[in-house]
Amino acid sequence: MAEKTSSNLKSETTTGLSANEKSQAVSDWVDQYGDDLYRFAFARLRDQTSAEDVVQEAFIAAFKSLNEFRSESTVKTWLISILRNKIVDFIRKDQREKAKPVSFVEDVNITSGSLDGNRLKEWDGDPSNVIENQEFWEIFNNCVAKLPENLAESFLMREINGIPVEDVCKIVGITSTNVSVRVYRARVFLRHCLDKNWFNPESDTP
Amino acid sequence: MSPFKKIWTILSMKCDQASLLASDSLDRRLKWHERLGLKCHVMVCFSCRHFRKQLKMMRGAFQNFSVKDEGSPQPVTVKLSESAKMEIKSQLDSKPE
Repeated sequence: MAEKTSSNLKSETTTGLSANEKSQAVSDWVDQYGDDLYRFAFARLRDQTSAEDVVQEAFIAAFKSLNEFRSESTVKTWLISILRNKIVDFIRKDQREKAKPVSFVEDVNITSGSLDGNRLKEWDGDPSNVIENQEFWEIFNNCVAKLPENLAESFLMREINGIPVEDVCKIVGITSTNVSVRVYRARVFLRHCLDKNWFNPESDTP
Repeated sequence: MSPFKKIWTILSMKCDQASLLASDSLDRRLKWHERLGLKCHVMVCFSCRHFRKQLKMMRGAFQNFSVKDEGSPQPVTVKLSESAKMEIKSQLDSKPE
């Protein structure tokens, strides 16, 4: 039954399902998309409890407004758009500044984002080395947390959730050129932050 | 875009345009003249060559999105805990229409 309900939802609108079927369908989504949503929330909020809270709110909101789900958008895109709004609300309510690690290089100009005039140094070696490294992930998450607000959401929807660009446009309400530029700036920012704090910490390039 | 302009795109590409295209190439299929322009540019520009490689590494890192965990020898992948999933499901079950 559960499988049937879930597959129905991929191809059709959800009107006409009983309350039990609806809660079963959304429960299936928790297994299917829960990790995906949580990664996005965690990258934005960087705190387990807050991320779990907004993900829970998003699933409950999805359950309540299941009738509004239209099959033009995929389930994942729809859930991410709900989650995105929950995160916007959360951040608005919770403006307290996060503590900043001491030995962290601040980025000032890089958000204007062009590589011209910078001579980039190569990143050392095998990517799989950093994946296993605890310290790398601390730096990485610090850098992600420092992404400017307006760049972070488009960028993370692409990198973490693989939401198609056209769906990112709809969710955020911007054009595909805007998405391209925001994602690019986020990448330049993150690259610079990882370079300064992990790959080439001694480097004095701008 | 006129053929002349496409050729010009290929021949005149600077780092700002090339690096933007390198970024776009992770999100859409580039047009032929963009692809060719980028290819020519990275042949002569080591910065953009590094940049392109670093973009792929960063995407790879997100595929393995993890956190430092003091209580474990290895970093831990970011995912929704089983207890949180259970909690959400029980909330769903108890919600009236």
